[in-house]
Amino acid sequence: MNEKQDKKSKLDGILRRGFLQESALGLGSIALASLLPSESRAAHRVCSESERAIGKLHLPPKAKRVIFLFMAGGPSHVDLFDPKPLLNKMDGQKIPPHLLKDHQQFALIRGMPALKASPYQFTRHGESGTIVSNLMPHLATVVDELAVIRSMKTTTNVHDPGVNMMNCGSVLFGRPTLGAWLSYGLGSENSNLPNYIVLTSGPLQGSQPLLQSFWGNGFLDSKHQGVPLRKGPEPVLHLNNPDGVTSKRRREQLDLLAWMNHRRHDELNDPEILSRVASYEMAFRMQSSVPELADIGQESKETLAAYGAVPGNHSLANNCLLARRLVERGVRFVQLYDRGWDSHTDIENQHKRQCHAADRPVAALLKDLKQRDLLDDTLVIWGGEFGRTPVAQVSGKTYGRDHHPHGFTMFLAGGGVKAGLTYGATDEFGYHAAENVVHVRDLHATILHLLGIDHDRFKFRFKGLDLGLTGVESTRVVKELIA
Amino acid sequence: MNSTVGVFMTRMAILFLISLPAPKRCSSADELDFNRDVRPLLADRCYACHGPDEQAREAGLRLDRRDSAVGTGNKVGPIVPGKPSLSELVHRIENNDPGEMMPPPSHNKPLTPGEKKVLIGWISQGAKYQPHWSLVPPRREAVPSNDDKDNRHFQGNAIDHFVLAQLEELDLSPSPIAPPETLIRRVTLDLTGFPPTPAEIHAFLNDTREDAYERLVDRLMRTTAYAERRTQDWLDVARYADTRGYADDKTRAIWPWRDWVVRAIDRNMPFDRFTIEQLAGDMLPDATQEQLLATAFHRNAPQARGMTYPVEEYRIKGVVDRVNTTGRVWLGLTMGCVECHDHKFDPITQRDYYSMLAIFNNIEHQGVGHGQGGPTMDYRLPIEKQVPARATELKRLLAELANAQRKLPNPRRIDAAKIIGQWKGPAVVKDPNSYSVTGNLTIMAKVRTNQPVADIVSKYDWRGKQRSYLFGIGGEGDTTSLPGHLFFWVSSQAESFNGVTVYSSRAVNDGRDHHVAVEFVAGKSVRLFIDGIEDKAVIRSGAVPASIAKSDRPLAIGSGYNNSRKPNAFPFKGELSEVWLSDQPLGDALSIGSAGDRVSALLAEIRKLESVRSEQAVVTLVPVMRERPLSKSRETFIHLRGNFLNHGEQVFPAVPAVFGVPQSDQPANRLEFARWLVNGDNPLVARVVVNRFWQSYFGHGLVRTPDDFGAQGTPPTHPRLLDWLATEFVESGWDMKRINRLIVTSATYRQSARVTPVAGKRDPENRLLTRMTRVRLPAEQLRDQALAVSGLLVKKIGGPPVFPIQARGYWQQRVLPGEWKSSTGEDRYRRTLYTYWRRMALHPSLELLNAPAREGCVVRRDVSNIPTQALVLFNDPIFNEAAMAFASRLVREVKAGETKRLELAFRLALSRLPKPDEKEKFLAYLARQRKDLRRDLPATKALTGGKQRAGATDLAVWTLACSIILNLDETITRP
Repeated sequence: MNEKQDKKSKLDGILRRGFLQESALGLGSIALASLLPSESRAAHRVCSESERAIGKLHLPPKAKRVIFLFMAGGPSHVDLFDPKPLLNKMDGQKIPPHLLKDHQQFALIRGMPALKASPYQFTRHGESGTIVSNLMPHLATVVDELAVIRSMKTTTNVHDPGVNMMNCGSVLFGRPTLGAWLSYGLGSENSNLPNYIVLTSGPLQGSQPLLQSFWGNGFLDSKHQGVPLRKGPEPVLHLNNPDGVTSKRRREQLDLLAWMNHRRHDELNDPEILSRVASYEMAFRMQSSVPELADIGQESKETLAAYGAVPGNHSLANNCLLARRLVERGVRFVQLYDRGWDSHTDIENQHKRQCHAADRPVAALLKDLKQRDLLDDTLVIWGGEFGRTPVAQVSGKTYGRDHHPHGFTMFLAGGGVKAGLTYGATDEFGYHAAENVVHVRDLHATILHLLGIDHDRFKFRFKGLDLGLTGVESTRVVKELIA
Repeated sequence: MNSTVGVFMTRMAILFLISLPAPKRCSSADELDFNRDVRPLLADRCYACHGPDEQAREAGLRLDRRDSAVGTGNKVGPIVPGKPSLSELVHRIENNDPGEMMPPPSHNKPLTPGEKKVLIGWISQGAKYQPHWSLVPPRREAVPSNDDKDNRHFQGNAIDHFVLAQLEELDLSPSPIAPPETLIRRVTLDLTGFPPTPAEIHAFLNDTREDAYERLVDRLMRTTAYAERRTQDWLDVARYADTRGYADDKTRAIWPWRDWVVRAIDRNMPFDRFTIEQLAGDMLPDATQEQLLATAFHRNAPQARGMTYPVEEYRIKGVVDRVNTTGRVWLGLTMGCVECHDHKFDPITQRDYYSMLAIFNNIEHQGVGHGQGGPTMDYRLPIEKQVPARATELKRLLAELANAQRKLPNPRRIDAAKIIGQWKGPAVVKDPNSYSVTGNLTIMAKVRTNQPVADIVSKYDWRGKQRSYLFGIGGEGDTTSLPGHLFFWVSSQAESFNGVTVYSSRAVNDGRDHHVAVEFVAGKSVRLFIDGIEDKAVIRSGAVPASIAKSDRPLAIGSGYNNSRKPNAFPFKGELSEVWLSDQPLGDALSIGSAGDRVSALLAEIRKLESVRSEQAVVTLVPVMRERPLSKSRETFIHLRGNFLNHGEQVFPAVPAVFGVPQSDQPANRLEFARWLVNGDNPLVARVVVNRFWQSYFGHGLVRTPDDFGAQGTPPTHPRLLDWLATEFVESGWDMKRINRLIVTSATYRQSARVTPVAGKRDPENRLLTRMTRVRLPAEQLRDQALAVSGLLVKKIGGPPVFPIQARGYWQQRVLPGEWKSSTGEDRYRRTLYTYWRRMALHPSLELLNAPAREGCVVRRDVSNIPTQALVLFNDPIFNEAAMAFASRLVREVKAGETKRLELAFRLALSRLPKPDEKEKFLAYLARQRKDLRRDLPATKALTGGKQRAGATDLAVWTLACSIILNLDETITRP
């Protein structure tokens, strides 16, 4: 070994070793290749595909992007997807104690509540004969696209930890959400828009607040954070220029800014300065691309009518249409939060209201995606942080249903999912997931699998641990859900 | 550690030389080093099943300890030192049979051929183990001497000798010292959080003395702004926020602690004291209120209201947060995982964890309803903060007052037979007929409140036409009443008023304890007493009635009536105690006589002194720590799998076994634990702390995983320097300013930030410190700089949090409870350190600029570079206001001449003057915009904040230009 080589090797050692130790060691050799310093310092800091953490996907992907329709508060599975004749028969009787064996208490109900029948009619639909209640007549027309999972299970009956669990695979705050993981792992297909966009709808009064952490990046770089699209004239916070600054004036400002920044780069040779220029340019592009995409007025009358969308409204219908426009433009992950499903009181009217607002647009979205050949590689997920109890939470003359994590329903569509499937089952009261149980962890592993990612190899080193969307608990990819 | 830096790096290279597609050079003569070459492999591939975690351990084998790995006695382990071919481990790692191979395929972490070679080589060399580097006490080595003539400039202090020694070994050179304009900008931003002013720059550039830079540093370190800037870092690690966290996220008054940190750093409190007071100030003998306040450090932990779930769960969450935070901040250890299972990589067991938890488990807790979830204090703001000159005088007066007040009336001395009722706090008497006193009456009470209106004792409902007698504060808010003043109403008729009303001449709602009383002598007199002194200047109206009417309202203590059957109005919310009622005139017994005159006079003087204060003197309900008495100590158990309901073995306070503290020396409580941390013997504490100081200036620490000094963390890039700084820190008496000063006066810190082609290629991340690293300013400094440059900044220190302007409608759209009311006046432009920090909805611009919400301890902030940040800096109202103010400052201070204005703008924002080509570009830009805006009056108006006046075009043009300047990479980056 000559002296010069020796010195170079010393240097390489100190540099590479440290670099790798702080990085995503768990990604294995595939990611390793993309983590070599030369490639990791790409000039663009807006997470281009070339900069994604997973160089080559672990598996052939079936889906490229995701729309997650999050029914915040928790929809009632026994009123929508999971008919239970025995529950109806035993309406009003005290809950059989054996159902309570695994858990300590309800979220809000105290004492031993009574079973509560579902007042809705459940009918088979489509070729698949998938069952949906008459609360969702439009959805009933697209059941052949769905894979309904009736045996979902999560770990908590509290809202925020429940949302964390569904988004991050952990009840704790501070973990990256699914969208952040995908932005980190898969990068972006679009250089004009953020990669992870959040849309909200639903009644403001009486709903749980939607916290920043619901679209947080956790310990991943903050460029993977979800960007909420807002209602009104400024769809992204700070998108609009101050009064008096026209787009032309901003362009002129940016030209001088870029000239100055390039000059600075010539002086200091720091590549971060070029990344800065790229960020500013993308911000400028967003100023036209975001309002353009948010303008659903460009859609045909027929399309608007199919969704029930009205330009200027703040509704799930508008958001579903926006979701299609977003995935069309290559946005990786779109999450819609629809508030108002937390029906502790008067669930009959509240769920009627929610379903009325959600039924048509969700069905329209699936049809629209299909018609535009987007459904094949877009995974659609529908569900809440948990279901609702098959027992009543009585409140005056009305009743509601409490939070229910032990067994509930979600559905998937598109993106390589086996269409027309009903999978798993709860017990005869709709209480516990009993057959082919799908824990949220399993759902996460399956989602990643559909996107070409092996959940066990998709980790990020943080505080000395290789953390991922799934953890050390036993987790399975639910192959039966995959076409 | 027995190695020199040179050997260190040789070994370090090997692992990656083999595993990466680089020429393979593994000389068998090279001795492998356990810590550098072997431990990371074993930790990553083997420890999960063969490491410290007892629950997960397979085959009873642990490879983190030599005795188990090589076997003891007759038992042969999988490693036979010196004999790879006889070692089971070697057979396993070279085996391709899925059932036999190690690590097993399910582990997903196969060994590369190169890595196998390292393990085999190490075994053949004797399989020597070493303790982990960070657990070996730092060793102070002699400062290397450098006589390299090329690097004369680079010999600022000891730091540079260590850095240079390493560079020279690698045949690399440090960079030249940065130009003076860069230096003053760099060090002023770093030390104070603000850019230097033109006057400061001028003074520095013209200071020809040899030690001009050191003088500059010393001047900056004497400012309170220095303390504020360091406090900002500490608030991150302390997870300080103005709200309690979780969905509920209510505001709590913990800001006095934030100001405590500023004061402590300002006075350069040694780090050992800084530690002890924050972890256990409440347990110090004769703890002062400042020491008690310091303990709010660990009350910063998020605290749920804990209604739905067992209170115990949320109490435990708080204690767990305290243990984890302490681990990360002082010990650089990731302990979070040990809550549920033994550490997989570091020698920390669940028993260790819960023994440490026992240390923090003995704090009072009251997490019911919207309670604070723990003890609180009423904190009296230090007077010297606002009127320093009078502090001494006040102190003397307060001491004298305390002396005089020892003679305060003591109701216990009153003949018990004369007392007809006594209560310890708010109460309602069931029988409405009791206490229907009609003649003489005396009421006494101890009160402490800030309320303007509150009832003490009431049998009086004037709207409900049930008048009798009423004693309280603020006259039930009646239009003619005096808020905060003591009052007494009595009427001889229930239906309509016929009697007397009396108000005290001064207010009693100052948040301090007061003994208050009223004496009513039927038909004769009514007297009010405050602290044993009769108020001779009461405001009285009406005649003293000969009798008191009867009311059907039950006697209420601590509340009153407002046309209601139940006493549900005017509740007393402060502290109400020792409420005594008598049907006899006891005034004389309540007076402290002539002593009262002295007290009276003293109180008057104190009030006069205090009246110059502008702020509320007492902050109530500040969360702090208070230890439960030994007799009521909580028992602590291991929580199996982290489940607080699932008790394992009982444990007792102790530090992790790896520190080797004998049983007899184990800390028994928080105070002893805090003292143990900073007794100077701990191998981690000083290293961890100086590493964070380093990080604060260089963007990264010498250990780049500042909260993981364990097996999974990164080893230090400059181990000898780290150790030298750590020992220097301890030997200097934990002098924080000294270490910070050493760092910023080093030549290493003063280097140019230019990336040379060689360094950029060989060391893109600047691990070897061949140059200074540029750092994007933290969120706070981005705003503070904009405020300073534009002249908007208000440099007021401390106080309750303020609300800078926020994008309109942000909270409404987020559907958050409460309302963000932007502060007006001074508070709109205060230093960002004082911004209201709401955990679940941080100010959106700060958040986008990477300020953490502080849900937990943050040891290093993420610094991203994303488009939404560009939108904030161009479009957020904070930066808009600043651009406009910056423009008007330029126009105001330079009457004419665009070049002169441009020079001032550059001086203010960049600390330097524009270069000719920059001048040319900017002047052309200004001219073009001027032409454009002359024809666009509405835009001109908008860009000047709606002002339509002469020179508006000037202002509008400059607003556009200033916005560019505030967005320059050079402006937003610490050079």
